[in-house]
Amino acid sequence: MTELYKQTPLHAIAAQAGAQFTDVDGWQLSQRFSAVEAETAAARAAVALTDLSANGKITIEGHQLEALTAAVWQATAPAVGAGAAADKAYLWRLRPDHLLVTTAPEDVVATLTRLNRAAAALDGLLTITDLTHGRSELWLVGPASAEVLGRLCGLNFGPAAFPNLAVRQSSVAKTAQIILRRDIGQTPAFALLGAASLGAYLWETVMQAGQDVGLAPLGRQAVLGL
Amino acid sequence: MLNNALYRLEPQAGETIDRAQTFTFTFEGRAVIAHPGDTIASALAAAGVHVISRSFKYHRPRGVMCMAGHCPNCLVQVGDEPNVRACQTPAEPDMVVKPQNVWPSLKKDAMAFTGLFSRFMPVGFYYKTFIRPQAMWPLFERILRRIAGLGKVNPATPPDRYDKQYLHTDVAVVGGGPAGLSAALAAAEQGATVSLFDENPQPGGHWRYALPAPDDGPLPDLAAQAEAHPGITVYPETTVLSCYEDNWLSARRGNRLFKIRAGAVIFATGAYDRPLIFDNDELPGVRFGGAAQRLLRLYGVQPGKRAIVVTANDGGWRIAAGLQAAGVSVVAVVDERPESEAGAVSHVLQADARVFWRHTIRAARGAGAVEGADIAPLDAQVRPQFIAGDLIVINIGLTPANGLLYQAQTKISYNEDRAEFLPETLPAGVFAAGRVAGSHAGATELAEGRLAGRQAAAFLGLAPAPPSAEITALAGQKAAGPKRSSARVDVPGSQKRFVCFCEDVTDKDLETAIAEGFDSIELLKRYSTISMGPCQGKMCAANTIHLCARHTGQSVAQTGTTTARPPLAPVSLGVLAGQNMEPVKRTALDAWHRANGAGMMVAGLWMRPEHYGNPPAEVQAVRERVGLIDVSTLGKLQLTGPGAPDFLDRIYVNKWQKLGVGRVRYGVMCNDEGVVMNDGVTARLSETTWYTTTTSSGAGAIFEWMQWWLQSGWGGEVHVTNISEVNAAFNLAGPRARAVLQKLTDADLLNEAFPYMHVRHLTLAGVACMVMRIGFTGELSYEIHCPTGAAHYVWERLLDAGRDFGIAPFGVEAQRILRLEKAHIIVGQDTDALSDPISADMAWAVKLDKADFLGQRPLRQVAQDGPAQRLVGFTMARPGLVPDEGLQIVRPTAAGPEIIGWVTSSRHSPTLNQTIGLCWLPAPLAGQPGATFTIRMNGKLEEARVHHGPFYDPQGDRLRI
Ligand code: FES
Repeated sequence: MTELYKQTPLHAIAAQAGAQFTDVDGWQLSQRFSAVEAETAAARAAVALTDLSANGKITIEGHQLEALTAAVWQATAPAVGAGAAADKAYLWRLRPDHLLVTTAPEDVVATLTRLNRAAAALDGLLTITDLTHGRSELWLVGPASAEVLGRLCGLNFGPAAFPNLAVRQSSVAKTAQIILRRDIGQTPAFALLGAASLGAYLWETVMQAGQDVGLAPLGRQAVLGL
Repeated sequence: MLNNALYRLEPQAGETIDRAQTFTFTFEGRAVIAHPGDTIASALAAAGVHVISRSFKYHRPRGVMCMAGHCPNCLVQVGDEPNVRACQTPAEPDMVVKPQNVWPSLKKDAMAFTGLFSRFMPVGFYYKTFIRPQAMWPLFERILRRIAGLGKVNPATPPDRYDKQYLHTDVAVVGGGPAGLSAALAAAEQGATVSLFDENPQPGGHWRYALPAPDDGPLPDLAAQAEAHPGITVYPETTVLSCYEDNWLSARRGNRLFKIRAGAVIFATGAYDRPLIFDNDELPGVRFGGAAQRLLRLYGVQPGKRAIVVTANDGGWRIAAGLQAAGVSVVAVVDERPESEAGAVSHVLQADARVFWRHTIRAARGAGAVEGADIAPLDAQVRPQFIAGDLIVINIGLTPANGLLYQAQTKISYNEDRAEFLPETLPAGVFAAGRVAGSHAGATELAEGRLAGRQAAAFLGLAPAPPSAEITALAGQKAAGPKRSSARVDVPGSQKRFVCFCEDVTDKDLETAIAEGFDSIELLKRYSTISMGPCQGKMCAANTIHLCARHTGQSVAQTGTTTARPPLAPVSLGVLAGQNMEPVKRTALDAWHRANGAGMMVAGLWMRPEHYGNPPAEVQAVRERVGLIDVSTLGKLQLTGPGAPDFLDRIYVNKWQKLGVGRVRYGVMCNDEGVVMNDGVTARLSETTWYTTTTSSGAGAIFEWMQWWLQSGWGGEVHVTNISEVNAAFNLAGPRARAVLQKLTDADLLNEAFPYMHVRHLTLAGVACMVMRIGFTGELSYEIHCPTGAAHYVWERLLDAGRDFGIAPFGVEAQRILRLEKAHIIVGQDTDALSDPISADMAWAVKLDKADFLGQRPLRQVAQDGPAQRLVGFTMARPGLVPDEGLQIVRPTAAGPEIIGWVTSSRHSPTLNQTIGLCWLPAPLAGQPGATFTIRMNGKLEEARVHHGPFYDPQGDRLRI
C-alpha cells in the first residue's frame, strides 16, 4: 500500500518549477529548485520566496491566553501585534483573545497535546484549532522583501513600523493574510499565512511582483542554511 | 537618413547624451540618428526636424514648444502607443515613431484644409451643428469618430506589465529643483525619512539647464548630498499625479503607480513657461525659454539658427546671451519693459543684434515653421516691423505649477504685483517652496526649501519649529526680489491666436463663448473644453482666467480658478489598473483534475471540474455503481462551546437543541427579512463541538455573518472558527459506495452502525477523517472530510479501492443533474433575494414555535398569509425540449402574455430520460400536481406540467440502503 503522504497547496507549482522534494513528517516539501548556494545567495542579495506551508499553525481563542501560555511555556503572551519565541513555537497575538502559535511541521502534534492538556485544566471557553492544513505559508526572505510586499499590500513594511517579531492582518494581493515578520539572522523575512486554496495564486502573484528585483524560489535546504 | 549634425553642438556641460554611442530610429519612415540620453524630440531637433505632429482640430503643424512635457505639441505615435510625448520619451534603437493627426503625411495632410473653415467651426460647433436632423446623427457620429480623437490604439497589442508600489515616508518632497533638494536635506537632517520625487531623470530642476551654464555652484553639491543621504530616497522620472486628504499622493514612473502615505508634503514643483497669445503663437519654431535652454544644455542641440528673444525679465537676456555663446545668431531681443526697469542685463550681445525696449511680438510668420516675427511697440499704433529668424523664444513669465497645491486644498490667490497665482494659506502638514511659492532668486529658493524642510520636520514633532521672524524675513526677501512674470497675456492681432493648444481653442472662441453666456470660469471650461486636453491646463488655464476676467469686467481674483482634479498629468489605464490580480481558489486536487481531463469551470472564486468529458455517463456511474466528486469548496465552520445550540437556533430556521451527538441535520439560514441566505448540513461531533457546512461561495460571508451576530450579543459561550480549508471534502456516492469505503477502514459501516444522516470519525487508509452519511445525489453516499494536505493521498486511495466497482470521478454538471433528479434546491440559483423557505418548499424546516431566530417575524407572516409564489418541479410535455434557466413562464391573456413565473433549473435527466426542472409559479397553480402551464421559448409557448416532490426515488429508499 502506498505510504501516507501530505502535500502543501504549492506542491503542483513547485513540481512545475522543477523542485526536488524531501519528506518531513509525511509532508512532501520542496528541498531545492536550483543550486542551494545560488538560492541562498539570491535570498541574501535581494529576495526569494519559499513555501513553508507545512509549518504548524494553531489558533487559540478565549480569554485565558495569559494563563495558557504561562502553563504551557512559562511565558507571558505577547502584546497584540507582536510575536515572541517560545519553546519549539512562536506565539503571535492577533487580538486580546486570539493567539496564533506557529511551529515546525514535526512539532505540531506535541504542541497541540500540550495546549489541550493545559486548556483542560483552565476554566472558561478556550478553542484550540489546528489550522495547519488550511493555510498556505509563503515566506519572502531577503533585503528586498519589504519592497516586494509593498507592491501587494498597503501596509508600511519599514523597520520602524513593522519590526522583527511583529504580526499584522491585512489584504495582500486582494487576499486576506496574516503577515508575520521573523528575520532569519540578519536577513529580513516575512511570512504570509492565508487560505490554502489561494496559495498557488498568491505564489504566482508574488513572483510576478518581484520579477524586476530578481525574486526566485527558495528550497527548504537553502532556508535552513540561511 | 536624417543628418543629426545639423543642429548638434559641441559637448555641453551637464548634457545627458552619450556621444560615444549612436543608434537609429525611424520617424515617418525616415531613419534618425540618436545618442543614448536623447529624447525623440531632441534627436529630431538635432536633425533639423521642427514639425513633429499636427493639431487636433485644424491639423496645424506643431513642434516642440516647452520641451518639458507640459504642452500637447509633440504628441506622437510610438509603435502601438499613441499620445507619447516626444520631448519626454527617450529615443530607443529601432523605435518606430509617427506623427499624429496626419493623413497621408505630415507635410501633405488632407485635413489641413479645416483651418480655412475655422470661422464656421467656432467653439461648441459640434453641439450646435450635428444636433439636427436627428436621423442623421448615426452618420455624423461615424464621421466624427473617424476624424476626432488623438492617435490610434491597436486593440491587438499584447498587454504590458504594470504594477503598483505603496510607499510610506515621513516627508514627501515633490520636485527635485534647488528648493526641493534643500527641503529634503533640511528635513532629513532633522531625522525625517524623506522621499523626493522628480519628473526628470536627474534632480536639479531648472538649474540643470539654465543659461548661462554655471561653472560650479551649489547645485551639483546639493544633488549629490541628497543622493548620498541615508534618510533620503530619490525617485527620478516620477510624476506626482495627485494629492488627496491626509497627504495621500499618487505618482507614476514608467508602468508603475506609487501610492504614497506621507506625514508631511513639501511641494517644490517649480513653474511652467507662460505662453503669450499672439498671431500664429504655436507655429513650429516658437519655443519657450525653457525649451531653448533644455535643448541646448541637456542635449547639445541648437534650438534654431537665428533667434528672436521675446521677454519681460532679465532671464530672457541671459537666454539670449547663452544662445549667442552657443553659436546661435541672436537677431533681436524684444523686451516689453522700459530699459530703466531692466536689471543687470549687461551680457554683451553681438553687434548686429537689435534690441527693442517697450516692444513685443505681434505675430509669428512662416509657412509651416517660423521664418520671422512681427515686432511692434507696446504703446504706439504703428505698423509692426518684420524681423527674419527661424526661432522665436518666448520668455515672458512663469505660471507656478500649483495644481497639486490646489488638490491639497491650499488657498491660492492672484498676486497682482507678481502677476502670479501664489499660495496664501497652506493646510496643516503641507508646505510650498521655490518657484511655485514665488521665489525666483537662487538664494531665496534655497532658503525657502530649507525652511520648508525644517517646518515639515517640526510638524512631525522631530524638531522645534523655525522662529516666525525667519519666516517673515524670507517673505520680505521674496517680495524684494526680481519680478519674473508679465501681467500681459496677449497682444492685439488678427489671425489665429491659440489659447489652448490641445483642442485648438482661440481667444476668439473664448470671447464667443462668454458672449453666449458661458461667463463663469467653470462654465467656460466645460463649454470650450479648455484645460481638458493633454496639457491639463498647464498652457491655457492662467491665460483663460485673464481673458475671462477682461471680457466679464471682473478682476482676475474675482474670476477665480477652475477646480484642479487628479490626475495632474496623463496616465494610462494600465498604470491605474496595476498588476493583474484576480484571486483564484484551487482545491488540493486541482492539478489532479486537470491531469485527468477535467473541463474546469469558474464557480465564484473557485476553479472546479465541471465534468470529465461525459456528464450523463458520470450520472450513470453514480446511479448504477459509484462516483467520487471533489466538494472541498464547501464552507466548513466549527462551533465550540456550550452556547453553540442556542446560537444555531437563532441563526437557522431549524431546531438544534435535541440533535444528538453523532447526528447530522440539514439546515436553512435566513436573514432577518426571512430570505434564504444559505443552507448546508450541521453535525454534532461532541456535546460542545459542532461542524457546519455552507455553500461553496457562501463560506466567507456566512462566517462573517455569524461573527457579526456573535459580537452583537449572541456570542455567549460559543466560538465560531472558519475551518473551510483545513479539510478537503469528497462525496463518495452510489450503491457501491459502502463497499468502496469499507476497503479503507475496519470500522463497521453497515446501516445499523452508521445510518443515514449520521457522522463518524473514521480512519481511512491511515488518515483520520470525519465522514457524514448524507445524500445530495439521492444515492447512498458518504461525505468524507480529511486534512487538506492528505487530500491527494485519500482521493487516490478511494479511486484505487473503487476500481473493482467501476468508480468514476464526476463533476459539477453531473452533480447538478443528480440533485435535480431529487428536486434538491441550490441556494442562489433556485432562490433569489426575495425567496423565503416556506415558499421555496422547505416549510418543514421552519420551526416557528422556537424562541426568536433570524427571520422569524416575516416567516410567521408568510405562514399566516400563505405564499404568493411557490418553487415546484416541472416536466415538459414535448420530449427532448430543455428550457434555458431563467426563461419566463407566461399565461396567455387577451392583452398579451402575462408573466407568472420563471424557470430556475432545468436539465435532461439521463436516468429518467425526460426533461425535469424547478420553477416559480403562482401558489394556486403550483399546488396542483399535473397542472399545465406554458414556458416562452424562442417566441413560442411550450407546455409544461407541475410536479411535486423528487423526480427520482421519491421515498428516498436508495439513501438508506
Ligand atoms: S514640447 Fe513636449 S510637451 Fe511640450
